[in-house]
Amino acid sequence: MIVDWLTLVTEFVGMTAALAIFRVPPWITVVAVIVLMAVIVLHGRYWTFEKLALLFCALNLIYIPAAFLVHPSVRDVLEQGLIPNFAGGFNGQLFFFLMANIGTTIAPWMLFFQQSAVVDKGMLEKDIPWGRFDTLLGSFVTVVVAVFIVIVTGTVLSGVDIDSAAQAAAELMKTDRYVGTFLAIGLFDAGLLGAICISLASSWAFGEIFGWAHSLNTKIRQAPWFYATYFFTLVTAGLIVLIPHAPLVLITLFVQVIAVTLLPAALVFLILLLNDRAAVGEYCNTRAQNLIGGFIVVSIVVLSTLYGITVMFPNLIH
Amino acid sequence: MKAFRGLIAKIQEINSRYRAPRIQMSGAVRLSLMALRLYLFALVGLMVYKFVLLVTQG
Repeated sequence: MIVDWLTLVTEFVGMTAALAIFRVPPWITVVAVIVLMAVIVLHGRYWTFEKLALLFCALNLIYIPAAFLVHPSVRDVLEQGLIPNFAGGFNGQLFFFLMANIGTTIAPWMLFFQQSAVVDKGMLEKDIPWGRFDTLLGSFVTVVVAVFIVIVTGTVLSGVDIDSAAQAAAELMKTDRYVGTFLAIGLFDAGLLGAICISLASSWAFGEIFGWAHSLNTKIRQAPWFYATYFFTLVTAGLIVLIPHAPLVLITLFVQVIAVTLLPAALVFLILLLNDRAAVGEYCNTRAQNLIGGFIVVSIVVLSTLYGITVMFPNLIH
Repeated sequence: MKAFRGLIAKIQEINSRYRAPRIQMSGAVRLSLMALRLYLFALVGLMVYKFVLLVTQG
């Protein structure tokens, strides 16, 4: 829950940074986002939320035209994009950024969000194939969008020292106004989408654990604690961003790294559950699925360990 | 105070509800899971230490 809340803080960091490029003060962004999210959850049902979430997802495709606007060299994309190249060698910084990258793509809250969303959506056993297809399609599109973000930034900002996505968008504004604007909109959109899903994942989880009513299909009077936890996590996370001189970029990176470090704890339980024939019956994991799941868990633990070693012994790995 | 005591009682009730895991696990698996969790928390401790170090050093 703490990691969920910390990740929500990072979404607010992204949104305020993105709109700061358009000279919107952070407090206006925070208030506007909270109001917008209140409208989304209070004036609709699960289906309304899902349609809006899909709209925000579609907006993330904005990175694809942005990549074509910067005219990348196909040779560079293939050479530098497909062949691993660690200019600084294997050091703590590399492990740190690898983990932060994994943390932005897959985090513990996503596991809890997906299982709660499936329940709130009212999916049945007959819907499992469509649920799997939905997840597969989502994973594929995520990677495609990520590739285009790398192409945009790698083409225009190659060799420029960048600390955050907002700084990247600001730098891109100087080079190409449209590309910079696209990147800033994409950054805000990703933060908004993440914020909606994370706050919901936390409220669903709280409701499930404490036995409270927890559905978007209920009204405030029917599920007061569900909505109370939703707004509590949202408002407190938003307030953190407004603390003057807070090291927001550092917080963002470390939260992603901590989230990915704790991910194996949740993943192992998921793998165990998927191997419990009494619980999942014919949907039990196959050997290949277990191998893939095991490989992911082991890789994350090894990467976290390597980073931990570099923290304790900074000069050991170069 | 009454609300606080009620919250503690609720947490105790939840803990007792989930005391026995619903997923079938052998003793060795349970022990490994506990070891993994402790190890991951130790790693997180190291990361928090690094974060504090970076913030304090500016």
